[in-house]
Amino acid sequence: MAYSEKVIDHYENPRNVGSFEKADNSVGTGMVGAPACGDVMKLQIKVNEQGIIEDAKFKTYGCGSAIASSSLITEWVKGKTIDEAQSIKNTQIAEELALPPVKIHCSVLAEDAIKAAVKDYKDKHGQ
Amino acid sequence: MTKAQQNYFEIFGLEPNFSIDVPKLSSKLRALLNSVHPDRFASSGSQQQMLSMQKTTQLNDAFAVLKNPVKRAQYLLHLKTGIDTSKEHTVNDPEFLMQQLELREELEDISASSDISQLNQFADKISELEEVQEQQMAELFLQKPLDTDELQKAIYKLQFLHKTLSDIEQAEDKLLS
Ligand code: FES
Repeated sequence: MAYSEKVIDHYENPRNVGSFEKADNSVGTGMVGAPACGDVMKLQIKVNEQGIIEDAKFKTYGCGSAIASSSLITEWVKGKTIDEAQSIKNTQIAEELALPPVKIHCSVLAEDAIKAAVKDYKDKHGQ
Repeated sequence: MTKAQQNYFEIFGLEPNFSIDVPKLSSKLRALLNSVHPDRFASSGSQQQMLSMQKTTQLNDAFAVLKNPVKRAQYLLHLKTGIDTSKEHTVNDPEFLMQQLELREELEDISASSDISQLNQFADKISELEEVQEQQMAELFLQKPLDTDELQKAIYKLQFLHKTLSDIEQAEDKLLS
């Protein structure tokens, strides 16, 4: 199966790889995994007082599509409010990256990761 | 046709349990394959030969599932409860996943350093973790009634450990080539 150019680009030059301090109050961490393939994804957001995501980082051990999906979503969420970030759909990611049907679940992982990160942030702040 | 409905355990004359003696299973497989081998029916009609081929396939399918702890657990859970854990889904279990992520990071560092003895040590560590997980799985399957939530958790844990093991194998291949 051939990967699209956008996938290859994000895969070869992933944006925002790395970590924030998990315990930091302004950070939300999402950890998700897909048992079927055994891939794991960590996605973190750094949120300012206004509820805007200032920065995002990820670490993914998985296939090219999963890496590309997490790279893309960290780009997208920057500057968005946490609620906007939470409403990103995997179909948008899949469309942008032109993922074939068998790779759709990899974008689902990214959607679930951002949701988990926002939830973690909200839990921390009693929201 | 007879016994088309036999489950994979019955095919090998086993009780449906998670604990399995895999070496024993593979000698059983050889014996069974031998007894249905198409050559034995060379002089019989084509119907017999067809049947023997079907049996051969069935035996190999059953063996492939039973020898693999993840597939065996999934099959057994499905057999006993109808729950299908083979579908794509996401799990959200931060503590366990963080541990998995750290293991992958460790593996990444070891691969980068090309230290084969370190890689072997790491492989032993993961195998041990997997053994513990299999042990727990066996116990869970003996409980009555079955705790299906815990079983599904145990299955995905085994899946992630398995993935790490196969990553280790890949890293070994790379180092040795
Ligand atoms: S195959 Fe596992 S996330 Fe893509």
